[in-house]
Amino acid sequence: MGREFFILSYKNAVIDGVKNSIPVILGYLPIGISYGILALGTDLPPYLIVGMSVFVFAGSSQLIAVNMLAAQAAVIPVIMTTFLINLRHILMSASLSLHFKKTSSKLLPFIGFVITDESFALGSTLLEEERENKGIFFLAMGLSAYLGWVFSSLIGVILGSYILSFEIPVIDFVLPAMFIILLIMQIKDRMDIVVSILAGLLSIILYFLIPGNWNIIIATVAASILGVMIENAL
Amino acid sequence: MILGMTLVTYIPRMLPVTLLSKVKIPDLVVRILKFVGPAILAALLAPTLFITDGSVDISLQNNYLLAAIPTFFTAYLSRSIFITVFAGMVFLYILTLI
Repeated sequence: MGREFFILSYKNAVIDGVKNSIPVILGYLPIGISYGILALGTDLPPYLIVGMSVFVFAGSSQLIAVNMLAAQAAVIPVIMTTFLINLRHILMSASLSLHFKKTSSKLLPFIGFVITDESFALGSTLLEEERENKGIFFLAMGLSAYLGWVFSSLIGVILGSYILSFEIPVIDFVLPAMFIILLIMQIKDRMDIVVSILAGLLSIILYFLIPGNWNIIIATVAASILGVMIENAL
Repeated sequence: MILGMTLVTYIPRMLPVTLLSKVKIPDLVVRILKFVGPAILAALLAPTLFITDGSVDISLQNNYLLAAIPTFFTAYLSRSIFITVFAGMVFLYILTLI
């Protein structure tokens, strides 16, 4: 009975993960498509445009990389910027680790690959619930979203190759809109609102004080620590 | 370049979850980490909405900020990534027409 039960709950975790990835994939579609279209404006050949999605799998970094390449940026600054943008995933990865105490160590490097802003936002909400096989669930959700991302950028490349003058100014709003919904999904109580406002304010202030993307990381860490301090004081 | 980007993307994602999942994290750190989710999203979002061309813009000319208001309501009511992203683009489009 033990083994059958295990396989069944394993299968359920995969199905549940894939199901929960659907909204993420729908959110990826406009971003991936706009990435593919924008990337065609650089010197990158189409197979590398999709290749970047296969290997890097980071929407905002890829969009920024493509913008920099279009402005004739060199390779090292592109990699440095990618690194700075992705430093925030250190915090997400550390925060998600709280949920994977029972997950096999062999799965963790793969789970790491599929940690994105979106899978993190969904994961940290859904993993709070009681469920079996949290690792498998998250991995299935992440891999399914990953396939969706690669597919979206492929569509972008195809669309962009055929529709030559493609200009959608509102497409720039896809990322902010996505962060808005992910933020709403993350807010569970009043303290989360306080911390969010603090982080937003600090991020704007630090934007003017420190060059690079450091404002995001410093504001996040500072606001989170302040949140705990406020909780202690109450 | 893609190889470099792959490494600097993968390592920050993979190392913490791999190393920290099997150790006992102090209670205080756990409490801080729980705030990281909303904090990081707010820190990413705020400059995009409030800063235009390198300075803070809280005027009616800032279409991003204006479009963000109904987008927040849509997000709160729909709880759907797709609906919110789509509605956000529609709101911004309407504002560019005005």
